[in-house]
Amino acid sequence: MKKIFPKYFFLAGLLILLLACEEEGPDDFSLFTEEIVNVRGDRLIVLGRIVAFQNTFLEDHGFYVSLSNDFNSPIIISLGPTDRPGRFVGETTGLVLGQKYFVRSFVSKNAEILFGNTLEFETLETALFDFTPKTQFPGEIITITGRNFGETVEVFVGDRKADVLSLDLGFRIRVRIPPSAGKREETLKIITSGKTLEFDKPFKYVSGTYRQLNAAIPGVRLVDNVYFQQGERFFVGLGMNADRTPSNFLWEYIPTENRWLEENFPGLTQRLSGNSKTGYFGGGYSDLTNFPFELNRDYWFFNGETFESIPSAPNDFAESFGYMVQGDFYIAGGKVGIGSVVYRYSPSLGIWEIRPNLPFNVDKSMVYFSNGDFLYWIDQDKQVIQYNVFTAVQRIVAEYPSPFIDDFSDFGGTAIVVADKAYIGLYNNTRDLWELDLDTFEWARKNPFPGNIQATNTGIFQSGKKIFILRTPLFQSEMEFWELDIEGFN
Amino acid sequence: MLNFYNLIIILLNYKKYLKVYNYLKRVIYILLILGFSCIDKYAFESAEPEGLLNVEGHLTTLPKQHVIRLSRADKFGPEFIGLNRPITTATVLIKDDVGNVEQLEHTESGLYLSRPDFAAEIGRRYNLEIELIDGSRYISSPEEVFEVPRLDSVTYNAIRIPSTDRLNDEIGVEIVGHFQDPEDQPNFYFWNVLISDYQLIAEPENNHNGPNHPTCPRCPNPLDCCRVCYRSELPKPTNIITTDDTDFNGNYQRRRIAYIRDNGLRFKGIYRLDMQHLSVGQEAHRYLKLIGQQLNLTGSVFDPPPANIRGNFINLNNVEEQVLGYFFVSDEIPIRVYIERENLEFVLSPVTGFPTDCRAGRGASINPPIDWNP
Repeated sequence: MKKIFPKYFFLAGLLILLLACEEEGPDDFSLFTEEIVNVRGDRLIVLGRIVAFQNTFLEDHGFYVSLSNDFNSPIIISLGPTDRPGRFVGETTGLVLGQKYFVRSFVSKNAEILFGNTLEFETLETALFDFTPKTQFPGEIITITGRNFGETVEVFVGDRKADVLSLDLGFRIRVRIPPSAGKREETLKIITSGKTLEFDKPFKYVSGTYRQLNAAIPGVRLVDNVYFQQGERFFVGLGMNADRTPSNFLWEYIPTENRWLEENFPGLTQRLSGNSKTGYFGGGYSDLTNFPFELNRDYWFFNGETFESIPSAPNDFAESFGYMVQGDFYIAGGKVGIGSVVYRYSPSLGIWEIRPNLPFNVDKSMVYFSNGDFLYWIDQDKQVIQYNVFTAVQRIVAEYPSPFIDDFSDFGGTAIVVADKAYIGLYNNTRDLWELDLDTFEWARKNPFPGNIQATNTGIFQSGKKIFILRTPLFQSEMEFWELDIEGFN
Repeated sequence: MLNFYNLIIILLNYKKYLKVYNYLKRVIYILLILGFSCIDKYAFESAEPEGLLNVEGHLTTLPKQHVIRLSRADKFGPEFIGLNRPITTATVLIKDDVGNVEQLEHTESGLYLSRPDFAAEIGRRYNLEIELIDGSRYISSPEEVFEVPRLDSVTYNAIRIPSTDRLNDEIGVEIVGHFQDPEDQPNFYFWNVLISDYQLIAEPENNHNGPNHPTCPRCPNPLDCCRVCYRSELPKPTNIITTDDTDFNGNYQRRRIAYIRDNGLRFKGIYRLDMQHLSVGQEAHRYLKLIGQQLNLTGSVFDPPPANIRGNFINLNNVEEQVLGYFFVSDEIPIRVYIERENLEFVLSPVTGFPTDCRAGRGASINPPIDWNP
C-alpha cells in the first residue's frame, strides 16, 4: 500500500497539471472607433482601439473618412501594419469647411477589410477675428487672427496679393504688406479652403505728410516756454532762449502771412510754468541761472486780446502739469514740493481749491494731455494712464509702442488731441509719431518726422486735419516750424 | 603522516571513524546549500523610456491667467538619477470645439500662462495641444465643462482623529461645503486647495540668545518685535478630495471639502484658506480618485496596489508613448474662508511655541497680503 499511493498521487497531480494548461484563445479581436479627439476647419484627429487577448498580425489599420455614411470615395488614413492591440490615432487634413463627415476605423487581415463603429463629426467654419497693427508701412508685417484657417491661405490687400510668411496652428497668419496702389485705405481679404472672408474695418497704410514752413521767429530759440492756442490763433513765448537769455515776449502765428508776430506780455518771464495750452498758465521759475531758482507765483490768462492776471495758486508749482477740464484750469505735480498735489482754478468763481492728489508723482518731463473729464499722461514705463479728475479713478489704458531709452528718448515728447484721437511722440532724438484712438485705445503709426531730431518741441497746435509743430534745434540758429497733414498720403 | 600503526588502529575502530565521516558529510552538504543560497544583486533596468513628458494644470471658467506646467519626469529610485527638468521651448495651445485657439506664453521654469482674462465656457469642450521643439505633438482628449452646483455656504469645525500615536489624537479643521446636488444629471466634484495664508503668532518676549552668543549663550533676551507675521503655505495634509453623486444624487449635501491638520502653529491666529469648488468630467474624476488613492497608501494590506495611472494625452507621432498628467476643464467657484481660533471648539494643545521674532519664520512677513480682510 505504501508504494501504491505515491504513484497514484503522482499520476493525479500530473493529470491536474495537464488539465490546467491554458488553451490558446481564439484568434479574434474587437475594433472600435473610440473618440473624435479634435476637429478644426479642415483637420481631424481620431482615436481607434483594437481589443484582443493576444498579438494579431494585421496588414494595415487606420480610418476611413467620408462625406457619406456609406463611405463612398473615402479619405483613407492608413497607419500601416501592426501586430499589437491597443489604441491608435489618425490625423488628416484637407477636409471641407463646415461639412458633416463620417469616420470609422478599419483593419486589414488576410486581405479582408474589417470596420469598427462609425462616428459622425462636423468640420468647423472659418472666421476672422482681428488684425494688428491696423496701420502699417508697405513691406512690413501684420498679424491676422481668426479660427479654423485651412492648410492654404491667400491674403489680399485690395486686389494685391500679400506675401503670407506663416500660418500658425490654423489661427494666426503673418503677412507682409504689398506696396500701396495710391490708396490709403484698402480692404483686407482672406481666401482659405475655398472660402473668402473680409474684415469689416479697412487696412490703412501709414499716412502723414510733413512740410516745413518758412516761418521762423528771428533770432529766437525758445526752450522751457509756454504755448497755447485759441481757435486758429497759435501763441508761443516766455521761457528763455537756448543761450540762457530771458524771453519776456510772446509771439502769435499769423497763418495768412506765414509769420510770427511779437505780442506784449505785461509780466516777468516764466520758465517751466504750468501751461494749460489754452491760455491759462502760471508758476514756474522767474530766473534762469541762480540755483536754486527763484519761483514765479504769477498766473495769467490770455482772453484773446490782453493778458489778465489771475490769483496765484495756494501752492508753489514748477515743471508741473497744466490742463483744462470742463472750463476749469488745473495745475498738478511738478518738481517743487509734493509731486502729486492738484489745485483747480475756477474762472467763474475766481478761486483756487485743492483737489485729490494724483495717484503718482508727475512732472513736465512726461507727455500729458486732457480730453473730456480725463487727464492722460505717459509715465517712464510707457504706460498711458487715464485719470478721471472728478472721480479720481485711474487706469492704464495703453502702452506707448515705441521703445524708451533712459535719458535719451524717454522725455521731451509732445501730444495734442484732434477730435477723438491723440497724436503723441517726437520724444528726444526720435522721429516716431503715433495716433492713439481715445475710444478704442489702439495705436496707429504716422509717417516718421523727416526733420532734425536733435531738437526740442517748443509748441504744438492743430487746425482741422493739420498739426503744426514748432521745434528748437540744438545746433541751428533758428527754430523750425513744421506742418503735418494727418491724413496726407503719398 | 599516516603510518602503518595508525592504519591498524583505524581498521580496528572503523565504526567509530564512520560516524565522524557521516557527520562531516552532513556539514559539507549544509555548507554547500548555504553557499548557493547567497543573494546576488539583480541588475534591474526600467522598461520605461527616460524623461516622460509631464503635464500639470487645468482650465476653469474663472477669468484669470491659467497656468500649464511642462516638465520631463525623471526616474525615481534608490540612486539619484536626475531632476525633473522644465520644458521651456514648447508651443502650448488650448483649443475649444468651435476652433478658438489660446496660445500660452512661456514665462519661467516650464510655466505657460494664458491671457490674464482667459476663461473656459460652460458647455464647451477643450483640448490642450503641445508641440515640442523636436516636432513631437501631443493632444489631450476633449474635456467638456459642466456647471458646478452653487455653494450655499462653507463652514468649519475642529475635529479630533485617532492617530498612530496612541497618546495623542490628531487635531485638525474640517471645512464643510453646503450645496444642493442636482438630480437631473450626474455630477463629479473636485475640491482643490490652493496656497493659503495664515498669521504666524510668535512670542518674541521669550527669545533667548543663541548657543554661540559671545557673552551670554542661551540667556533670556526678550524682543519687542514682532508678534504677528503672515506666511503662505499649501495646506497639509495634501489630500485629493473628489466625489461623484452616485450615493447622494439630488440630495442636499453637507460634505467635507477640505481638511487642514493643526500643527500647533496654523491656528494660533487667523488662517485664510483659499480653495476651488470645481466640476470635473467622469474620466477626470476617475483619474483624480486614483491619484488620491495612491497618495494615501499607508503600507497596510488593505491598500490598493500601486498602479500606473494613465492620463488623457496622446502623442500623435507615437501613440505608445506614455504621458503623465491629465488636462481637465472645470466650472469654478472660488472659496475663501477665514478660520479664526476663537471659533474653533479646540486646537492642538499645547500650541507650538515660536519664541523669537516672527520674521525669523521662513517666508514670514509682517505685512499682511494686500487683500487680507478677515
